Amino acid sequence: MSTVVSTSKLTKSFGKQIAVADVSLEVKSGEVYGLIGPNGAGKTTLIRMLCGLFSPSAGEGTVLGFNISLDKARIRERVGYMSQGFGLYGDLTVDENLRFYADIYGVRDADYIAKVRRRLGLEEVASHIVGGLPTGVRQRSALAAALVHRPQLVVLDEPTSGVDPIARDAIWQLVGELVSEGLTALVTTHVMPEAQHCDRLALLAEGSLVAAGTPNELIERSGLKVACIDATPWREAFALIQARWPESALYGTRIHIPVSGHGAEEQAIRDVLEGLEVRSLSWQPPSMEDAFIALVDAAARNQKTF
Amino acid sequence: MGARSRHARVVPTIKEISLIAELCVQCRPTKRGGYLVDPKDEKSAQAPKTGSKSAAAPLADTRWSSSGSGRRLAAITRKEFIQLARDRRTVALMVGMPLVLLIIFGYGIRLSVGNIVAELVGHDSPAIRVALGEQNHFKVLPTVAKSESAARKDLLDGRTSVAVIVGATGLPSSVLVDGSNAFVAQNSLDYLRSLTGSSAVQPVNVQVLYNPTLRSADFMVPSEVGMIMLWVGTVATAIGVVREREQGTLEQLMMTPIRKLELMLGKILPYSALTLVIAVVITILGLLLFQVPLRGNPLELLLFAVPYLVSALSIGLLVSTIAQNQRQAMQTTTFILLPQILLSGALFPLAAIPWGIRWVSQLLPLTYFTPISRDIFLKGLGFSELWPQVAVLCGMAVIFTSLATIFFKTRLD
Repeated sequence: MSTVVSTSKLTKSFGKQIAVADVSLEVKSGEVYGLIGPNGAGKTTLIRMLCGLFSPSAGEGTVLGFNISLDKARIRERVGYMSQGFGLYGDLTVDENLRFYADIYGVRDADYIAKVRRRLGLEEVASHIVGGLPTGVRQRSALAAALVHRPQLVVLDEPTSGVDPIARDAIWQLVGELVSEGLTALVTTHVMPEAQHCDRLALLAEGSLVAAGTPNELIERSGLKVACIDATPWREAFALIQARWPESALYGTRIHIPVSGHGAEEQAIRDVLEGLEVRSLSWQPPSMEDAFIALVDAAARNQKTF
Repeated sequence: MGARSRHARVVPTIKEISLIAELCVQCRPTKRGGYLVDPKDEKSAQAPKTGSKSAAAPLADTRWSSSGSGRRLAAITRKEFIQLARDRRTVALMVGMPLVLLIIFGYGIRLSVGNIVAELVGHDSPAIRVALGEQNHFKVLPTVAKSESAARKDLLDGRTSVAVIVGATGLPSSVLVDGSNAFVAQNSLDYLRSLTGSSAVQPVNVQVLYNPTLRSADFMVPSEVGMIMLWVGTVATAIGVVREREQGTLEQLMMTPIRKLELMLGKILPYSALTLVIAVVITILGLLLFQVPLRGNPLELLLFAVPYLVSALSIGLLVSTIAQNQRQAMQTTTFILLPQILLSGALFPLAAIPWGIRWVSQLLPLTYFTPISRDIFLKGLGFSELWPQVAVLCGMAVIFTSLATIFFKTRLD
């Protein structure tokens, strides 16, 4: 596995505001790498540096072997980019858009463009005006436009924002398929459950890298477990639990409590619920969102101790 | 950005060589990007290094070849034309408005006012009635106002614009003119002066040159050509760029190998063509509908229009660097164009503009194009007489384009 993207202490500040701080990460070829974090975490700024739109304020990085500060133009030629805002021209047809981007990238191979169109299932809508297409098809068209010049790396900035859940899954599946065929994808999202579609992830918060690894590694590293309690009467049980663990939540009639270190906690839960019937108490891995919050908290605590 | 990219271009030489070497080795790291490769293509994909290098060739060095630049420019130009053809509203605005303006200026606006309502005060005088009624300059009310105060009341009410007080001898003793509409008042005074002149003083022989009948259309159409080019050129360019920003396509474009200068030119070229076509259409319509004479060389007019047009488009680009959306672009253009039209001498003579703001006029391209257009149309002048204006326009084109380029580049970062 070779390295496609590698950054070292990459930093970007706009005036006094630091958008990206000391981010070091590595994307290997043939993986779906997710940049996950809430809006304003610095994902887009990081991506723009990697694609050669911004120069880093400090630190360095390479994309496809090219230095991101010195070889912006070469990187731009070789990376496929799908912007957060819809990047295609709404008043052109799918084909006109593809041809436009092919021309911009200097691609003359009409067969290849046809192949991309076929692979992404756009043949039937080729002569449709893009603006009138359903969002899922529009996203596919945008992805096609990002692939016309045979990039080895595609960078997808929030490809699923504003897309309905079915189309969202379809996009992830398509990206997964293309990656299994040899593409590398760097994808940002602020929707935590989408992390499951990524081979590896970097969690970003307030411009800093909180943690990086596979989804399972990150969940494990958060040290969280979720207690899943079925108690009756559940309303009273939940009121009691919530007083002690405000972060607890109700799923149907089951109560979920994300806690770290479940050995001692199990007894505490049983103590709180004393007098009520606890039908079952089992432990689950936390959701990505819970893990993310725990990791961010841990990072913040670490910073304070320094 | 400019400084950094220059820096990047100075440093490489050695670095570039090593990078190219690196590229040959690293560009296709393990397996060549195998996605979207049909089984039958698989063989070529696994061809020896030289083969895979040539497969990467189409995009390898487009940046340095001029043909890549030409292709990108052509791509944007083509795209703009397709978009323009589909955007009926904008086309209607671009083509329709100049036509409406042409008709308003040609038919509607008269620089001379006729049938000004006048009233005799005190005594009736058939002689004065006849004199005033000549050439339909005035329309004299059949009634006679009893007193000066009654006449003033009529002036105040707007029933009349001029009151001629006639003495018992039947000769006018004084004249009251409603000055609230300066245009009508000025015309009235001119007519009245010519009347008194003819009776009392030896008539002065006045000869009007170039536009002997003082037709409004002859005066308006040549300056309208300039105003319309300014309007269409500025608005179209500003909106063309701002629309990309608004729709998010600009962000996408900036991530492609396109250079800012290519983008800028790709925006300017289609709209220059459009503007020139509209200017030619307006000129031809002016000639046909209003029989405006075109005494000079039309090709010279077209040629001198180019630096003027470039200035107008650059102003449009400058607007596009300020405006965030199309509405702001429209408002900003109006804000810039209105004073330009008022202060350039296209509608009102430059001599009427007070010295305090005359310097503003000197900064406006239209101020220099209006005499060019008017003198080629009406006086049949050419480069030998008009070169000072042409030179100023060329200078302005250079300055505005440079400003636009600088702002355009920095704003896109």
